[in-house]
Amino acid sequence: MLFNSLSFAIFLPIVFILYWSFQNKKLVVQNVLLLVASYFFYAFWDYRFLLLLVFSTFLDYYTGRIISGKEDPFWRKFWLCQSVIINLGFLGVFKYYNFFAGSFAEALSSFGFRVHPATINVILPVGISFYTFHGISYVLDIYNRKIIPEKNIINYSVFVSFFPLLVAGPIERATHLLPQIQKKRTFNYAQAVDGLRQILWGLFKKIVIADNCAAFVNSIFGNTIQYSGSTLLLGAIYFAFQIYCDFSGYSDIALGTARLFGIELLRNFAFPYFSRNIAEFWRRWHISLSSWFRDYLYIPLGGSQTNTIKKVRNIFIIFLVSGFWHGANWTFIIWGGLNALFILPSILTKTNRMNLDIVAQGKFLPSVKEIMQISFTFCLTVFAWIFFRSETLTQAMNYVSIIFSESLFTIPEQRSRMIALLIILFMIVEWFGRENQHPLVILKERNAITRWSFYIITTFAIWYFGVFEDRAFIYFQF
Amino acid sequence: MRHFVYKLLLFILIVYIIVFGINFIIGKCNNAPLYFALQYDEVINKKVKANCIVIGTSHGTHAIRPSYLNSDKYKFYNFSLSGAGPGFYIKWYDNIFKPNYPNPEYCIFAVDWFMFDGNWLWRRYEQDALYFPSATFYKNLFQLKSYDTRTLLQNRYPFFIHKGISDLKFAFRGEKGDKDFFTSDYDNGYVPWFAANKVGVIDPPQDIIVDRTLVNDFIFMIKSFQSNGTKILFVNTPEYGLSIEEYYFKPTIWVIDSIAKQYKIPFLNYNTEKRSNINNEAGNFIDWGHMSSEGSKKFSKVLSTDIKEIMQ
Repeated sequence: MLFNSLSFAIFLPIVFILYWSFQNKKLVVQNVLLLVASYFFYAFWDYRFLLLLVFSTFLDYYTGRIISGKEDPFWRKFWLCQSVIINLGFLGVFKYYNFFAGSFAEALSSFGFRVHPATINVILPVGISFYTFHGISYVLDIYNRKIIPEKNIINYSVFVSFFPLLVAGPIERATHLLPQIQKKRTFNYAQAVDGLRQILWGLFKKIVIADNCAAFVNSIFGNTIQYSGSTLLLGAIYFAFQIYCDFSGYSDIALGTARLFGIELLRNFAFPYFSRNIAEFWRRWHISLSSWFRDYLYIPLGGSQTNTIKKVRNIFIIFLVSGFWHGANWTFIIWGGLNALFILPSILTKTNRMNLDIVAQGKFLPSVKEIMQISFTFCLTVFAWIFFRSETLTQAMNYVSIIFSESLFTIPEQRSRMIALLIILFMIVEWFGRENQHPLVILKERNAITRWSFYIITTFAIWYFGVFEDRAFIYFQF
Repeated sequence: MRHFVYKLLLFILIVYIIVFGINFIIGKCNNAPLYFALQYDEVINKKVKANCIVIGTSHGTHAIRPSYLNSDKYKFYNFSLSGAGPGFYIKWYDNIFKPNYPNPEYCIFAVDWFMFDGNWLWRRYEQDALYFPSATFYKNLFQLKSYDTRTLLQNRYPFFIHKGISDLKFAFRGEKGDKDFFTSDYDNGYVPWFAANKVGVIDPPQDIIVDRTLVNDFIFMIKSFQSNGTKILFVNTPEYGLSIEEYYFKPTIWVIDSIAKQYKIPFLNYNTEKRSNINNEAGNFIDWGHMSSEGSKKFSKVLSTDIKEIMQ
């Protein structure tokens, strides 16, 4: 069930009304309803993989309890490893098996051995990368004695499978979400209205910006060699907006939907294209995954509190793993590697903690220096996105080589003024709302006529400028 | 909670009123060719109440003038529609024609050598939802497995049809879709086509396929007509630019030939054995397959003579 589908438009109001009509009942009623709705939501896509989700939930729930009951470090580690290995094992089989089998066969063939790898024809269960990480972080937090295990299996199941975050995050932490699930929720008008605003903005991003860019980008990336460098550059820029609006649009809908149920999820995006350097970009892009890798991989490896060689190693490890997390393809790994290279200078010169504030905070426009910094950071990310979007490394290299040819200075064969105009309008709204969790928060301070006019105009803009082709969110495949 | 729901309902109501208004305004400027509506109007309101009908693609629409075929005993109506093939007609017959129109004595099926290629014949039954009687529309809407609900809804309301900005501009300019289809010369379903770029473009498609599903639909339709006592005639209207030999190598023609033999249906092919000078004059055509107003008059006279012999 896609957030931008008719089935979700029917599902959400039904669950919402049922949920709040049980407001005066016990907490367990609210949570059982959320769990049933979440399982229905997941089974709507493919009911067979529901078993996998339930198994993963039970595994981490019981492992958490066992670890908590053990004092012997050996057994604590044993049970932790068991959980992590099984969780990553599922991820490995469903997501990476064919990649490893193929790469192994290719490596052998380069030594003259011909091997036909036994590939398996599996469908990647939607959301597996996300709920696996939920489970692992929960068990790790118990192992590190940061939290005590949840006793109630219903509460824990809702934590893992709460439908707004089930298929593409944000990757939640037990410390943040579980306390909200353990407490009875009461209807909060301001929270629900803001949730709707965020859903509206998320739909605009996805249906209008991302899906319009997608048609353009698919045509350019599908016929790379036919276009000039200038067209390919435009294609890469449009992809930068496509992926941002697609994923952050999804996150906005997820966060907004959760708010309708009285639950606050972790923020996933904080206007990353207004970042002044790559380190800031990574503090603002896919925040829940970046912070997950920081807390459970980077810091345990020593983080930046170690010697230079280890710092460099740690940076490369987290970015390569992050790339690999996105999918079993060398293009993602190179994308991760490029980002590691881009961020490395700021880590080594200890300037990565600069720009912790919001750009041009309290000002109408940024300074010239800030414009230059933002533009340079955007160029770097666009360059890396070329690898992320390409099907193969060869295609990516061709793409880059055509961009950096004489044809870069020609007029693009393909250009869409309408998309460009929509992106400019979108970025203006984002700019003026950058100091908030989402841009439409600024409407709170406006009068009713302004607010309602904006809602209605945005609704009709989605209808008239949007693409209605059941186009799935990009991050569903991860 | 109640306050929230009321406000949400108010918002939905405002959006609905705006949609209703836009729908009303665009509905007044509907740019679909008027003759589409006229074909459906005849089925539903039975003004002519013909006892012989013509169905087929646009080649049939722009070639066969019913008034030339009429006789004391037989009244014709041409229900051919652009891009309509067997896949379209099987649903049209069941939902629109059979429940609303008297059972015809004869049906001329204007066959073509591309009629079993679903990619070539673009028209889908659901796309005509605008013209369906309400009862038929709602019945189809809830037959989720048999009909494409989304297409039905999209095509029922002008608000949904004219979604793009260019569509809106077109609709609000008040241009009518019959700009190229002069209904002033409308003849019981026949409508002349005046293309902006007048022919002699000779570019008939080469990569035509025979889709077995569409062949089966076609056979099913024939059986339906015959079981209701309707006699069928196949007519391949004249085309321009292809030699007789080329028609003999068209797989679709072989299939139509074999069906005609199997179900004892007369097949008048005006591109092979019944070919005449009509085929050779560019002035009789708008392009390689669509006849001009002049051409349709000449051809309808010939057809009238030929079918009289069969229908007697």
